This record gives sequence, C-alpha cells and structure tokens, in this order.
Amino acid sequence: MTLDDAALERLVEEARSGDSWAFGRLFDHFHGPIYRYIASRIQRPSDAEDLTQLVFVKALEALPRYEARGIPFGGWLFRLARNAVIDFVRTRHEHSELDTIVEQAGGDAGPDQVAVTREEIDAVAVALSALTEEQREAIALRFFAGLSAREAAEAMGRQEGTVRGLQFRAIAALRRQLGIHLDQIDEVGSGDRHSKE
Amino acid sequence: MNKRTAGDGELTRRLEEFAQARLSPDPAAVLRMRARVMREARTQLEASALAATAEPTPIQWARSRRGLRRGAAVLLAAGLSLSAIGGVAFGAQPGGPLYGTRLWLEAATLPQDPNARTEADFDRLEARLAEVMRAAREGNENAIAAALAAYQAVVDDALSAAGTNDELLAQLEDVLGKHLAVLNGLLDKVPEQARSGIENAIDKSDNAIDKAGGQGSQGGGGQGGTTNPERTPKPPPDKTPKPPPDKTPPAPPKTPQPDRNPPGGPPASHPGGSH
Repeated sequence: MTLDDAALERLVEEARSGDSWAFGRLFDHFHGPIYRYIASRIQRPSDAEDLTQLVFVKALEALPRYEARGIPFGGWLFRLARNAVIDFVRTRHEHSELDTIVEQAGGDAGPDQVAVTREEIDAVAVALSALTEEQREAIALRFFAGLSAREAAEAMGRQEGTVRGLQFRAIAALRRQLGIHLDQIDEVGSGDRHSKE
Repeated sequence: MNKRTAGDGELTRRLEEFAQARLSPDPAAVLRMRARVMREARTQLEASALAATAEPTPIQWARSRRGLRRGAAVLLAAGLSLSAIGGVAFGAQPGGPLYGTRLWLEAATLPQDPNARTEADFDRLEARLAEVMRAAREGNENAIAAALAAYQAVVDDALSAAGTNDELLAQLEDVLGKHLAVLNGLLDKVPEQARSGIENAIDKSDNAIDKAGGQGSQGGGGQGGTTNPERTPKPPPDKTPKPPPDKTPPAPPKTPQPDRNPPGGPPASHPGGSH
C-alpha cells in the first residue's frame, strides 16, 4: 500500500479526531516496516508480534500529543518502536544477537528452495551480527524498514549526517563480509530506493 | 539518475532476501495484531472523541444494559458538536459498488479456528461500526444502512462461531455491550430515515447479548472446555431471616442448616457450572 505524505497527514489528523478507521489505515501502512525493524532486533517472532502491537497501542495513547512540525509520522512511530525494543531488551536481559537468528533454519524454506539462497541468507545474518549495534540499527531502519535517512535519524535521535555515516560504514563492512566487490558500475535508476514513498 | 555499483544492487538484493525470509510476519500474525490494535483503537479513540465535550461520566460496564444505553446517549448527545468531523473516502465504502465484494472477501478469508475466527469477527464488527459512525458523520443514509446490515450479519456469524464456548461468548457479550452504547448514541445523530436501521441493529445486538449470556450459562464449558471463572454462578445469598434488633432469639427455629448451603462455596449443583 502506498500513501503519500499528504494522505498520511490526513489520516493522522482523522485518527487524532477519534476515527479508528483512519488509525487502521495507518496500521496497514506501517505494520510491515515496524515488524521488520523489531524482528531484526528481537530474537523470537512471538516477541516481535507482541512488541509491534505494543508500539501501535503506545502510538494510540501518544497520538493526542503528536505534533507534525516537520517530524514525519513514520520517524515518530519508529522512535516509539525503538524505545519499545530498548525497554524490552533491558527488562528481559536479552540482546539482539543476530547470530542466533542464523540458527533459525529458513523456516518457510521448502525442500525445493535452492540451497544457495539459504546459504546467502545465513551469510547475511552472520555479516549483520558482525556490525556494531548502531550500524545494525541504521541498516535495519534503512533497508528492512525502508525509512529515509531523515526518518532513520529521527527514529534514532541522531543527526542525519551521523546516520548516513553509520550506514556508509555498515554497508562497507557488509560488502567485505559478503565478498561483494565494487568492480562494476551500472545505472540503476533515479531516486533513493529506500526513501519513503 | 544515480550511479550505483552493481555491488550496491547485490547487497540490496541480499538484504531484501534476508528480510523476506527472516523478518516478515506471517498473515495470521498480522490478523492477530490488527484485531487487537483495532479493538484498542475503538476503545481509546472513539470513546475519547465522543466524551470530548461531555462531562467525564464513568461508564461502568457492569451496570445494566439499560443504564449503559442511557449513559451513552447522554455522552453522545453532548458530543453532537463533533459531528462536523469529516473524512476522506478510501477504498470500498459502504453502499458503494465494491462494498459487497469487500465483505465477501473478508468473509471468505476468515480463519477456521473458533478462537481466531471470533477474534476476526470482533475486528469485522468494529470495522462495520466505524463505517456506521463515519457514514453518520457524513450524513450518508445509504452507507449507514449498508454498514448496519453488514454489522448485523457479522453479529450472527460471531454468535455462531463462538458456539457454546463460554470464554468466547463472554468476550462477544462484552464487545457487543460496548457497541450497544455507541449505537444508542448514534440514534440522536443520524437522519430520521436511518434510525430504524440502527434500532434494528440495537435489537440484534441486544438479542445476541442475551443469547450469548444464555448459551454461556448453559454451555457447561463449551467447545474448548474452558469456563470463565467470572461467569461461574455464585452461591445463593444466605437468606437466613435476621431477627429484629431488640428481640434477638438465641436460635431461630427456621434457620437453614449451614451444611446444606455453605456460604463460602458453590452449591452442590448449579445450572451453569462445569462438571
């Protein structure tokens, strides 16, 4: 589902006015990226489900206090998600060790799925686990949740330039780990693939 | 046009592959999350909007349903000034050409498991009620009628899906009780022609609540064999006649024997208990 910024703002305003249908639309738009971000930081899918739900409930509670004023709603929502993950990790004494994810066999992978793909996925998990916590978070927000650099910066409470730097170093480290070389240049289209629609 | 390396594309592809395989929720999880979030949204958003201009009247759900109706009517009558809240239509709207298709698709994708189905039915009930409220705000009588008809159909389905499961019936009773308050309040907000539809929906919900209560007390534990402890009938009150203060006899001759009706425990048999 794609919604432009104006449509999102309208939905936020309607939700603030008490329209639960509008909030449902916001859920539909954001639940996927929020879940992906949380799942990349939390080990168990059931915990990711609970936390995703919690983030939206917290958003409901905080909605009357939300003021756009240049802060994108997505960035605001991801800040709630980030805080929820931090609280969860702190209270459960759990660390988002991605190397444990490696042990999760590609759950849905059928026997006919190419073994190479699975190896690649495992290799990505290992490469991610080698990043610093902040680099991993920057990658999760940018690639898994699909946020723009500005939104990722808002969610992390950092300067946009800082987040870009984190992403740059993380990408370089991932390339090294995965053996992806920069020996070819091609044209891949305009715009930022991962910026918000 | 940006210049990117093929390495960038390869990395993006691999990260996306990883996210698809390891970080994506399954459809059942999405349904569960949505149902819970929407229930919370209805409770928080619409209740607060309706009460915005009213005195903070605490609603005690344990009160009688008539009391609920009166309380909600007062709240909603006071909240009439909110009726100017507008909305922008997205997707298939009630009364629109695709609304029936949307309802059919929703019904066709309902889960089979009774618990999951009831959860999904709650979500559908809330969606229909939100549509009714939206249509009422817009003064769209056709949309009100279509959404109300759909609401009543979901009430039937939910009642049927809950079967004789005490726990599900209790949840249904609770949800419908809250909806009743909203529907009653809407009576004052909609055009005259739409009122009969709302009254029908109120009757439907009222009957469904009665049925849910009746089935719950007769179900003996229901499909899942679970009994909601809150619904367990309490022992009858001690009807020992109290003597007048000035004439306290030491032992009234007609006092029931305590071991026949123990005050702290359930009676030997009761109509709705699980055995």
